[in-house]
Amino acid sequence: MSDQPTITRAWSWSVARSPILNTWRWIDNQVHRQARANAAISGADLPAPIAKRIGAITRKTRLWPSERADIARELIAHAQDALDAGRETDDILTSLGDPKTVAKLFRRSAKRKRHWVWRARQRTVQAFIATIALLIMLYAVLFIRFNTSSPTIERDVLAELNARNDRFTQDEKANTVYRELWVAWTPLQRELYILDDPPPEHFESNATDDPPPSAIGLFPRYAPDAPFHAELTQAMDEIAPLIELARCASELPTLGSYYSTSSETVETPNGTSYDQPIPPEPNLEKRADLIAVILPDLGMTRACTNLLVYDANRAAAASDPDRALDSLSAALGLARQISDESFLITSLVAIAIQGSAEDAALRMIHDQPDLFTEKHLAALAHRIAAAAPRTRRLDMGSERLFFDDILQRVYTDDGSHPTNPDGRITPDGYALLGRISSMYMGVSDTPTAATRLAGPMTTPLIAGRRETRDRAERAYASIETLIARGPEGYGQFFEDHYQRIMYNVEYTTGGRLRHPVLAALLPALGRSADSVFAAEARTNATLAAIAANIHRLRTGSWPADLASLTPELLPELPADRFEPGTPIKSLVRDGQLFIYYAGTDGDDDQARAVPEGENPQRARHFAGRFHAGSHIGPSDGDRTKLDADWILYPPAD
Amino acid sequence: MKLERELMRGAGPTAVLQLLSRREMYGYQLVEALDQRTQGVLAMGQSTLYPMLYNLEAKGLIEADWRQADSGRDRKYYRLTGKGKTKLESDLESWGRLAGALTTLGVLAPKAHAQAALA
Repeated sequence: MSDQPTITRAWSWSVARSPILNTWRWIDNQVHRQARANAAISGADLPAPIAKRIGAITRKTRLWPSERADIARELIAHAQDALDAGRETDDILTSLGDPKTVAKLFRRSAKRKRHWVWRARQRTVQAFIATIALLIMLYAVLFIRFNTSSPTIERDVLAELNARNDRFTQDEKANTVYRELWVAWTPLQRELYILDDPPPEHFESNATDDPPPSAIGLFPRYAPDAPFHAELTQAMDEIAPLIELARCASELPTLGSYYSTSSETVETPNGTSYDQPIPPEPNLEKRADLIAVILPDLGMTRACTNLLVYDANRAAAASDPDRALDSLSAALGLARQISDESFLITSLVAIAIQGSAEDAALRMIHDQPDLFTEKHLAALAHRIAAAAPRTRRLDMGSERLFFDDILQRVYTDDGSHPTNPDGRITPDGYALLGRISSMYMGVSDTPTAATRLAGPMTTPLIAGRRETRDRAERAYASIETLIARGPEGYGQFFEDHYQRIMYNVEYTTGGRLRHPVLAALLPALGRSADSVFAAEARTNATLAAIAANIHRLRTGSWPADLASLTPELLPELPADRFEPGTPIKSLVRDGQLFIYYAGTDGDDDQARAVPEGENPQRARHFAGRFHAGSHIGPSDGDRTKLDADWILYPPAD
Repeated sequence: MKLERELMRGAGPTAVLQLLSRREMYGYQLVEALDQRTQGVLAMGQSTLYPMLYNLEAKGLIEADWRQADSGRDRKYYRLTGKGKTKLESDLESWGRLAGALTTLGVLAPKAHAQAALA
């Protein structure tokens, strides 16, 4: 109860000091600041020096008009009493003191008399201004620190990348032979695709039926009944000598790619052009980042693989098992060569090439059971088994070089460690990340004004160089460990390691903001292990199918089970990694051998195929089988486990 | 003889509160009383007195209002509040202890002790 009057007074004071009234008061103060005090002084009939002094004091207080008038009245009354008491003007002036000093004392004490609400508001305003000033100072420091920083680019990562191939002589490098084949094939292929284009009438007639696939449309399958098969055969005959050369080149020790961030366009006599890497800009600072490195042989090797597989299929159709085996072996050799280039992408291409050769081999064995002799099949099995360990690995060596090159171009280098220094993000680094995120389209090479202004505010939030590299290294290592552990690692191990490291980076705004380099460069890493597991499973099934067919050639019937093939025809029984603890499965139904894995549902469905209309990929995702995070493996629509097996033999149509 | 600035800062408010404890007074009266009753020791000009009065008012130790004197002039009269009385009692006790201590040390003569208390 005792507080009630105080509260009421405070409330009424607050109303009296409402923004509108305060505004009015401020205007009134500006216009009539000294008017009331002056009126009191002029009406007091004081000697001029005293009146002038009191006027000066009140004016210098810079208080509210009412406060000035109050002070003026008090000083006037005092002066009048002094005059009445017979004091001299000079004495009174002396007693009044120095106007500036006295005004200061009056100002300080008068403010203390003001209501606590006013003082609280003043303190709030002062605290706000102080905070803003502090923030401005902090920003100024960060601005200078950010805009004066620049990356230190000292490591010639491109030279490290090329060092492996520099060890080989030109005669040991296969890529020039493959290029010759690719250059000869490209215009022929173009003409075949032009032939394959539906006629204009097809589009005008609103025809709903697509034309039957042509020979080039089915390429590299051999389809003698398809349209334009004769034209394709003629084209292949034209380049037959070069295919023979490519078969020889596949035995060479290396693909021998030369990597550079600079290139020149080479025009060939037949109108084909390609980018030829040339020695890069020697100045590391001016050289483009490694992500812009040209991978000139990637498309070329895929094209050559298709030519070799087609040639094998054609040879098989012509009942020429030697040439079919040679061409399949050449494709496997090419897979080995591209795998040794040790980029993530080249590793994945190697896996795809090996898969293409294995699929073709299985199809030949199945469709033409008497094509290959036992000797041919044994040779094929040895070639596949020899190539598999090299193509099944996921080499992160060049990926790490990529990453280190980006780091040295994004961050400063504090010199604290020779290979893993710490540092902070730079304006040039932001510009580079912008170019990477936009795939180098329409983004400035130099930091924009917005980057220079906004960058300083983000720097305290961005992970430093060492934290970024350490996290990336943990991500790389977790994938390597996952591959070593096998698909079961996609369960708890993956959750505890890779997911913990990368989930925030990939799926939260805060994570992407804190780790922009990781968000730009590492998102696909988690999926890549699945390709390795699938490749390993496919190779093992292919070897089992070849062994079973050797048995069939020897005995005239399929083996009772695959275990009976070991160790003579199959060194060991491959595991079914979809159903841990069990071997690869087989059965004979209606005279047909089936070799298969349990599939994503993890149980034996007696070689039940993926129903027609379903995505065949649903039966072969290890990540989905072992409950990897939702962002790994099949898309959401395909995540439900399919009640079917992954059948490798007989090969699907 | 005037007191040192720091001494004045401590003694001045107590002296003013003591004067106002007896009756309400206006500014000129206070100046005159401080000058005459302390033989000039605690004399202070307007420039010192009025800010001090404002501070005491801000602390709630005194209160004031404008009234018309017999002479017809407006004067602002100051008087002690309840809080001011309590503060004065506390200050007098402190000054008494201080004077006693100084007397014990021989800094003050017994007579000076009595004067310092302004009793």
